Amino acid sequence: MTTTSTARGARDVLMMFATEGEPTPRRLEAYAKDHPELRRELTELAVEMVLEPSRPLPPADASTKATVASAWARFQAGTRSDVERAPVRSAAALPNVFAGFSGAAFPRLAARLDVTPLFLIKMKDGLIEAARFPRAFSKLVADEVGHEVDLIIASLGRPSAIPRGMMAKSDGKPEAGAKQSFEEAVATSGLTPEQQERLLNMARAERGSD
Amino acid sequence: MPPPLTKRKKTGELYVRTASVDAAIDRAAGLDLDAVIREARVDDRGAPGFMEPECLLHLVRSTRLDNSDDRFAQLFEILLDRVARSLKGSIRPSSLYDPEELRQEVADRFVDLLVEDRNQPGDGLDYFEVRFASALAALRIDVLRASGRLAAKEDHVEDMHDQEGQPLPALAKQLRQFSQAEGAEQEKEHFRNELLRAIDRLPDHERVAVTLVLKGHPIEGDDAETIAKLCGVSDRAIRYRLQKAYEKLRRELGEGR
Repeated sequence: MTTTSTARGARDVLMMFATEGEPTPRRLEAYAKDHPELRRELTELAVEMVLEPSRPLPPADASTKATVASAWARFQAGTRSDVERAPVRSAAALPNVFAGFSGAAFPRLAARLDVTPLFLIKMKDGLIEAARFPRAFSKLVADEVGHEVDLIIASLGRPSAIPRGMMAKSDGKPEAGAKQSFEEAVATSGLTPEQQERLLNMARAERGSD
Repeated sequence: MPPPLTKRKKTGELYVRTASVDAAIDRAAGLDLDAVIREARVDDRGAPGFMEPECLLHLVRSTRLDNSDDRFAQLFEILLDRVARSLKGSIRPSSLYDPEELRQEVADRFVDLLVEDRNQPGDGLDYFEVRFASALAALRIDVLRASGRLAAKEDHVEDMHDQEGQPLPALAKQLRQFSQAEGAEQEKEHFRNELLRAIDRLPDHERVAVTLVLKGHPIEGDDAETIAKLCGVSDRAIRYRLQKAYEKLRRELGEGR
């Protein structure tokens, strides 16, 4: 064993002492001899291992609840994928292109675009992948809402506004970024066959012209 | 059988969970979510159906494979609630640090391990599936070490009022005798718990010295890691601490002991 410990090495020594056996005088003495720089820490740990089992768990209170809430936020921030994280920063500067269409104005806008409100909600919440979304339909939306077409396309690239678990596929496998492909969104938004065909044709025409 | 842990000891052997934890994990695998959550909420060690924290942690880690955000979120909250409360019990008010701040810091380090495990499954949490409470204590002490707070704690020297007190071996004998309760097994167990809790309430320096005496550490000797050496103080300081502690324990647990 070493006589000096790196930060991670020190933690590992403490973890090994904690989990590989009982805190007997013999073990503590052996560890303290091998890691004299950790003598105080090992001693404190040996004492904790004796006393901890007799310690009742205190009831939850405001401070423990705050710790749990903070832990959850930390976990969420740490596990968000790079794909999700990157657009968060740029999306902060994007205006909500549908901001002027609340209440009854929203289904009226959908009707003018010849889609269902559900399809439009998926656009608004960033639930449709931007990759195969037809620029022609983005242009129609841009004209209706009064924004540049590039802004409409950029807003499609935002992370989805709902938790990932709500967008799990039916086979239970994870779905990266909780977004639907354009074709999936068309098929699952209550559109009539004619409406679906129109949108899919727009996409096909653009792929054909690539 | 649940999947084995992957962390290896320096000898090359794999770390293993206790048989009771393996059995609890197997049992939980056959339950629906509501039942698992109900059982995970039983956190009193003495209560029937108590779910060991090692099992709870395993269930949290295994949600990575089942794509159930709801299951994960509920188990995560229960696990972190236990961690937060455990830290509240072990990190008491101190003049050397803000206990709230330290509790949060330790909880953050634990969450970082969960994040690491979720992003790239590894063996960093395996220690916790072996002995959760001891691993959490090790993490807490490592945070104290890394921040220099433990050094500040040990460097604090109490006012000894120039008392010499009784010789060390006599004091150690008294303390060890004190812990030998008479009576039936259940009574002994009860007294032992009462004694450990009373020791836990002592000031830090006394708590460490008394616990080491009870565990049978050598009091004196040139070569051995004596209690004084382990604590980094003189034999005289240890004698003073033991004497003060013994008086307090006698007062608290009964003069007749």
